[in-house]
Amino acid sequence: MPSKKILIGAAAALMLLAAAYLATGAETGLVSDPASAAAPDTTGCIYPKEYMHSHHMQVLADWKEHAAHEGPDAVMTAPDGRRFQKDLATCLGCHSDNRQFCFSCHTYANVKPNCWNCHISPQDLP
Amino acid sequence: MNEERRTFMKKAGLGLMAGFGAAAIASSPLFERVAASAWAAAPKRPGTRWGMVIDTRRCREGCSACVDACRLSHNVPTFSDPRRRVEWIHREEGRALLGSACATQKLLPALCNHCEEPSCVRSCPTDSIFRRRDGIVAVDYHRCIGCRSCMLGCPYGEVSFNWSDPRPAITEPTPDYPTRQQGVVEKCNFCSDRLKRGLQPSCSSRCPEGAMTFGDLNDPDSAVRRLLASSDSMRRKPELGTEPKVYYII
Amino acid sequence: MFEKALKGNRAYWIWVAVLVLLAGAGVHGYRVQGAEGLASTGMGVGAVWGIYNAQLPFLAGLAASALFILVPERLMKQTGLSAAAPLSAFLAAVASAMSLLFLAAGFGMPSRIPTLFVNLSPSAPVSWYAPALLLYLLLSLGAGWSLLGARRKGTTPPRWLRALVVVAVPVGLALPVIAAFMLAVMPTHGLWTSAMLAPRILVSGLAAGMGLLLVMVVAMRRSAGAEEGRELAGRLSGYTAMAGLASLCFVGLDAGTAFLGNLPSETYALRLLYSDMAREALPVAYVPFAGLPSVLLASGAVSVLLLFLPAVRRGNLLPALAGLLIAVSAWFDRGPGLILAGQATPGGGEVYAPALPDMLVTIGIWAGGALLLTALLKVTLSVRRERGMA
Repeated sequence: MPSKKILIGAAAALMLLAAAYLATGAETGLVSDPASAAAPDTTGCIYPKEYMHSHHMQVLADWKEHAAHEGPDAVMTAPDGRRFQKDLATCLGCHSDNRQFCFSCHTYANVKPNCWNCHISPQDLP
Repeated sequence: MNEERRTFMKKAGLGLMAGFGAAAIASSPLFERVAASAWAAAPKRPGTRWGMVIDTRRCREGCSACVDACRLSHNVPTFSDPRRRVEWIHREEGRALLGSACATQKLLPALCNHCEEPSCVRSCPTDSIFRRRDGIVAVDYHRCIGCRSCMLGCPYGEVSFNWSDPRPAITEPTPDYPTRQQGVVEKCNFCSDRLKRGLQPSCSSRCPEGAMTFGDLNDPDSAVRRLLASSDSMRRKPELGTEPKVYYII
Repeated sequence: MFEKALKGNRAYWIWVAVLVLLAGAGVHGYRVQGAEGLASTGMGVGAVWGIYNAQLPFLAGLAASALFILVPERLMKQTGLSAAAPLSAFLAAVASAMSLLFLAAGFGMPSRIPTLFVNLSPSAPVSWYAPALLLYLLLSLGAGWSLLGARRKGTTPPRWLRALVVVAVPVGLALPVIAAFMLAVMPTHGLWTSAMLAPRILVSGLAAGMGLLLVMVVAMRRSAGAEEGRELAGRLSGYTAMAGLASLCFVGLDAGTAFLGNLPSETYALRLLYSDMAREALPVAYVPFAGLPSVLLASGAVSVLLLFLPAVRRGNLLPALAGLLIAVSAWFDRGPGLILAGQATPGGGEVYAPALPDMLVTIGIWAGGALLLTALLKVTLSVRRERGMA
């Protein structure tokens, strides 16, 4: 059946064209208005306590991605309108007063996150 | 007009043209002279474009304040083996840095150029090294797989790799900034952590002679643009078309 | 069907044991590297890529070479190539698998390998490499396996195999192109920024692939006693010779451009390879091998010439030996010769030479590849014998 062959050939050609287009440096990513850098808001938690108990890993994974790639543009807006700079410093702005903040739970649950391979652990501070 | 005279004029004209041609070739600059207007006439992208101008006339012999400040503020490890060296900013002889058009024997600071068309970015398989919206070429240390393609892609050799665990090699640890770990690359980030806090980069702010000026290249009133307008400047390997954003005034 | 690889005589098991031992040595080398970091290898500032990445372009070409058997056999009804089709598909699968292993061996953070597939950046050619290799591995393994299955049952291969081969064509041809483009984005390395790079990788991979197929066909003919391979061996000798000649022409074209244009980076790399310069640049232990590139280039050229002689082509062992030499020559030309010499710069410090861990890992991955190929060949051979007896 020639039509089948033509279809297969067209599909292959389309794939090649798409690959060529993408390989020649098609710019991806959206450009939006620069967000004004938000000052850390220390009046309350970014999410309810229960949500952070169960989902802090996802929040941290999202923050680290955006903080690394967008720098000052990485701003989170909480449901109540407060704005936070996505940055580990924002977290530690409140949570560094208790040195055991991360460790008490992680030790109990025998979880070994690799954050402190690079980030300076509060326990290592003088 | 006799025949002899005609041929003479022809030859003279040809000679004159050849002379002009040779002069044009000879006067074409060995290096790209970049005036501020060159950047302003063709802004590559809108928005903030962080850049740096290093006035090498002010750079003092034997001074390493910028290198020391950087090493201290970013927990950059110090390895004694030159094959394992990690550095964000280092000092190199002017001729090696900027080519034969630069006659100075002085050691000049060299750092990541935060190119507008970075070849390191095109060689990263995981998008771990990328150009940010403000023109800073940054590395995501959470994602870097350690393939070292960017080191080969960078024409300036400004990307370093952690061949072994960097933590024991950090002489004076700073708690304000993370370290890196074994197996990832690292390089200058134009102090994006300090910029976020409204501070100037460590190297330029600690330079005792004020030889390093940092600012927005897209802002016509910025200190960098005023400096570029006042003097001729050079960039490293401009012929590669990477559009470095670190300028040197000789 | 795989159980056939688990039955063999003494010589087979000794060969397998040696390969397993070498692969084990590779695992040990990798553990040392994992514990001490890449500082334990010969790599460092000035020699950023070592012997792992040096295998990649050659293996990409080798993997793509299977298309030049599978396409005529499956899509153009060249039944004379049928006996070689599963062999070439398996060779491609092994080359792709080894490429993936060599790619992974060179990473500083092997635990992050999933990011290669999750965080593709389309404008970086190297980003396409691992997905293409993985896809091609599956396609070639599937092609070889279904060809073999059909032969065992004595049926014609399934119709979908033709569609699979059609899909494999762009993927397979993309491998040498990606391998070339991932080097082309590195502007200061003259040897890598040539438009000839992709064709050179493809053609030398083709020469090596056909040469290795020739070796396999001759070896299987001897152990299986099948006489049907004589015409096939003749055809493969011809393909090897033609591809080898094209490859040699390309070597000449690139070298001619470099020296006539007096291109500093290219001529430096070529002098490093083919003149006495390597003697001074290499570490002392490796000085005796300084002449290796010239010897391999010459042996490849002589082998190509030999294969053009009808008297040699009619022989049995000599064509296989020539095919093997061409493969080794192509390996060096598009492997270590390209990557290691290409990143050396005048005054760029020490020339790379492998240390113990990277040497062990490299040997281990090659042994693993050979092990996989041995098992697949054993299955092929058993199937053929079975059919011969039936």
